[in-house]
Amino acid sequence: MKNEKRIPFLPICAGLAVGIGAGVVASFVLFPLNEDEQFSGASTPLTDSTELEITDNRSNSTTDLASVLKLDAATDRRLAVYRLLEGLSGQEIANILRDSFKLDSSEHLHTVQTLLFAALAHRDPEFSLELVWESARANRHDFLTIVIAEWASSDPEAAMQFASALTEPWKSNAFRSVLQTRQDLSDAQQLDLAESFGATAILDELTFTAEFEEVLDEPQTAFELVLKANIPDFRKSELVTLITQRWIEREDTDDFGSMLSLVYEQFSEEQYQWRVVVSALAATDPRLVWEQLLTLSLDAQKMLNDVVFKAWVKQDPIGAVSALNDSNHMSTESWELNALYAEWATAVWHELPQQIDLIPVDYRTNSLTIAVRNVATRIGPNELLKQLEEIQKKGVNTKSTLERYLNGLSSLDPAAAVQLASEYLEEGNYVISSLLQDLAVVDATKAMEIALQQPVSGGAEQSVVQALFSQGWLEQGLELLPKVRKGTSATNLYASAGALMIDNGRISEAIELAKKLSEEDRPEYFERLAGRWAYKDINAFLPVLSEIPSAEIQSRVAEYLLRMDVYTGNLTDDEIETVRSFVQVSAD
Amino acid sequence: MSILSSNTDSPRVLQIVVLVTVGLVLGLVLSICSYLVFTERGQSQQDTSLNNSSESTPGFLFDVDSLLEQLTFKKTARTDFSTSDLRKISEGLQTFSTEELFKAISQSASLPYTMGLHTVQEMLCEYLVEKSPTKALESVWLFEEHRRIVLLRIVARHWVRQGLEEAVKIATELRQPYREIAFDTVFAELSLTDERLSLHRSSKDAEVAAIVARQTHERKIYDTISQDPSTAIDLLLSDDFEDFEQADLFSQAFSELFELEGFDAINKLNVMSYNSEFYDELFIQISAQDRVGMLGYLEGFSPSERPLFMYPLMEHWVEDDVESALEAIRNLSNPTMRTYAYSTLVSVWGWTRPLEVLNRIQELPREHRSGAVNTAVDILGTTNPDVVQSLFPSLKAIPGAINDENERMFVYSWSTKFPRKALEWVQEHVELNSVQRSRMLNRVLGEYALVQPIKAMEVAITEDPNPARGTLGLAFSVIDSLLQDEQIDTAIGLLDQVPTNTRAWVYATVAEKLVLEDRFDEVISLSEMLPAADKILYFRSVTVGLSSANSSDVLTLVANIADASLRSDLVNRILSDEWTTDRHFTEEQLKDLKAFVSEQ
Repeated sequence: MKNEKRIPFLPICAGLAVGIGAGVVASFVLFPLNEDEQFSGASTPLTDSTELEITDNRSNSTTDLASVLKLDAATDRRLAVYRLLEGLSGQEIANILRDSFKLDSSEHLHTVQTLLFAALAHRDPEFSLELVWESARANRHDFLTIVIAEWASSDPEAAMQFASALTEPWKSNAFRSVLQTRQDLSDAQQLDLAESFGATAILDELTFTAEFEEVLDEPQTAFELVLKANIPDFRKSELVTLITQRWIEREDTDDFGSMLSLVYEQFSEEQYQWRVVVSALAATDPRLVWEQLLTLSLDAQKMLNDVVFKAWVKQDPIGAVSALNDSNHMSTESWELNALYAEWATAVWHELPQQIDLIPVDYRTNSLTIAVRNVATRIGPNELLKQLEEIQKKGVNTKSTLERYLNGLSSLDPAAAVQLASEYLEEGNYVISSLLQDLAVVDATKAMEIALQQPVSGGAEQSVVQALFSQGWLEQGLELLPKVRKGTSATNLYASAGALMIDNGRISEAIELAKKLSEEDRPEYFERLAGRWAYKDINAFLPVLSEIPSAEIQSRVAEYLLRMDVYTGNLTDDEIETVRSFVQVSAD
Repeated sequence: MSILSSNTDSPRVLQIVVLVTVGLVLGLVLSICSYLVFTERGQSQQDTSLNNSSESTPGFLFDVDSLLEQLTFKKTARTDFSTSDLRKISEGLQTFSTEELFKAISQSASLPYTMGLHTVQEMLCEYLVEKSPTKALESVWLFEEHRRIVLLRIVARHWVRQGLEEAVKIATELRQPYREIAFDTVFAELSLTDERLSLHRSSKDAEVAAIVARQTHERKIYDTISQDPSTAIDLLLSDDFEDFEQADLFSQAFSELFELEGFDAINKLNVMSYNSEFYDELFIQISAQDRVGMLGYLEGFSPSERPLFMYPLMEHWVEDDVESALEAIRNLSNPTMRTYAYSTLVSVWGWTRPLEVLNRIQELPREHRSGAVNTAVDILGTTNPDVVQSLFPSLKAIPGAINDENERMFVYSWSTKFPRKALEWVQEHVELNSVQRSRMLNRVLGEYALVQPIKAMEVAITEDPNPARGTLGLAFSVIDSLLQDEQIDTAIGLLDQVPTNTRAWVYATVAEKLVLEDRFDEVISLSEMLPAADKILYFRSVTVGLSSANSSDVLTLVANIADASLRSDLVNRILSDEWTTDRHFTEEQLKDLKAFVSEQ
């Protein structure tokens, strides 16, 4: 009976349990809560406006993006976007954003996307940041700023945490956005936030920027502030440009002299931002600025003249060079004049063979060398060398210019430099050895192959092997060492190899290496080795000294070390005594 | 059995099925009702809250005060506006007059930050600019810089609706940096077709044309960065815009290139090192991602290239974390690279934190101690010489910390600021007739001559001849220093005190300066003060100095020498220096020179 009575409850309970579960699931499926409403639940709604029914929102959401973009007024667009987004989940907003990325650029697309990003960031900042990287690169900075600002408004720590994981330039931009947005935080809170995520430099920059705005129209103070600021150099350039723009807007531009004078007093030669300032001043009326520059002290002229002249050349190349030739400016400062003529030669590069006569004879070669260095960044080697040949035909000595150009090219493309050197320089030219050293670092075999085609007397193959030892590449150097031709001494190369062996703790090998040299070269080998340690830690060389198989060579090397110490003063008294103990007492 | 059972169980099974179904339906109804009641209550709670809120800010949508009150309320409530809220505000603002909008935006400028404040300000600005562009622009200036720029962009976008010409006209009246921001916004707002672009590019207004050109260029760079960052960098390097104005583009391009090529990306910086002022920043950006890896990568660079990268790497590493830099260097397996990295580190460290490095000198390997001390005393010599002198005894007790070069460096540095004190110290402390004394006096007297030329020459004469010195003597240092400082006449006034045996070289140094001032007569007169045998040395010395940059002056000088034999001898010596004539004389000049050679 008991069983019979209990039977009805079990199915009801089971049914009830399953029913409740299914009901909950069905409720969520049939009557979902949208994210916007959830968020609103956490916030404080504004009004009980009965006219704004959810049904209205639903109908508004059917408004598509294209029709929003057609709205001309920003207020209409904003309202339409809000209506469009009401009741939408983050994923749905993301879908609209993604669709917008596929649209062709339209006049209002960027502003509408900005609103969409703000709305998405409001619901799901991390997700919105993912979408930033899907947007057109040109817009990423703006969208990142919006998203981070939106995030920072609710959770600055989380925004900073996320920002700290970004790479540059995004990281700094994001830090800046958080700290600018949350200026309601106390100084201590801001500092704490910045320190926690490695953003103190950005906070310093923002603090500095606020001070800077106060003095922007006081050039002397503003320049001082910028030069002292702990901000990137390019930022300093931007700010001095701004100071100068405002300065020019405000001042009587007839008085460039006092402006230039202030620049000279405020900036050191190394604080190259002065170039930005002078360049902007000179661009307004270069001839007048030049004339007023000539009224300043010689030192001021020497510092500022090339930038003013460059601006003048840009506007009127012939007028500028003629004025320079007609004046006595810097007549005793040949390097100043070389630099000025080089500015002109750079500007008229394509017509230089026809116009080279405008440069006085003594300045042609050296100004040409500087000009070639300037144009080399934008002109290919073949075109450049062809032009040099044309200039040479006009009677200019271009040899040193060519050598220096190839040396410069070698640091970028040693193989090309060596190839061109073989075409344009005479066999055995000293520059070839230098080029081969650069080539050896990237292709030792090829460098040695070319070196062996050079005259023995030039010692080109020695340069190749020395380059390898200078890199610390002992085995590679030893492999090529036997290829050094007879005719010049290779003792120095052996000493380099021996030094690397000692550095690597292979002292016995360094001693053995001497046996590959003739007996008369061995003392020099050990002396050269010793010479390297005369400036270093002598204790690392003492084991070598004691292992040298000949007492006579030991003595000679020890004496050499003591002689070196007279010039270096590097040895302690005890070390001098130790070294002296290797010196053989003369039989006399 | 089974049939029996089946028969007897049928009603019960039916009963169970019915009961389960009833339970199921009941459960479904209960749970759905509960869910609906619960969510309804949630909504009702929201409504209550909403009503409360509305009560606390009655009629917020209808006047400025209640709007501002609501914005302030957000701060205390630490809550935010939903999209629906924002929509309602926007709709409410439609009813605001120009004055109300201006008042609202103006007063909001001084409100403390609250969630949603910035969005509401932007809405206010949008409405205000539609009603009164002038008032909107006026309101912009009430905000701090970063907000001002956001609002200015809203205003500028509205100008475009009034026509491009009008927009440009208004923007032109703004001061920098706002003029550029406004122009930038105006042109970015337009969908610039090629046709429109070319129209604006040819604009008479150079500033407008420049902005359009820059925007077009930027667009091209942005399009290129993702596909081919290397080409994007090439474009940035070869354009006509200042590199610092494109820092962000450079930075993005290098980030992308680093993703693709790793440390090889820095090879692009080689090109830039000639003329780019922010090369360091870009390199730092790349190296900051893996400094240890970058240090290892630099091993593959030639000695001529390596310093371009090693120095900025160490400069920032030492500033941020000198311990990790030291550890990374200690772990380098290539001894040559290790030595080079150490020497760069100690140089940077000594330069930036000289006292710290001197206090920790014993922690460095012996061979790098003197390098560190050298840089430190170079800095402290001008700023804190007393401290250096007080530290010398303790430093001398540390093997390798102080050598002769360090003492010289200190004295050199000291003498640039305090030449007399440095000179007295040398005379008092450094052994007479020693190499060290001679080397120190050489520099110290040069500095002293700039303030006390006569006394400096007196000391030079007293100290000379120093057996440790070579040919020139200390008088040369005095004269040369004066010449370098453009005090040529002071130098000439001291020439008669120069010992006879060194006069040829010392006088030649003065003569070289005189040539550059076209004072050839004085050059010839100086030669008359020399013994006949020294004249050829004198003239040859002058021409050696002039040859590399003033070859035509060499010809003029030769022509001014009256003695044909001397002239011929000099020209022969000039021509025998083929290395110089090959590089610094034109063929015509060589022909003219040869004409001076006597046929003997």
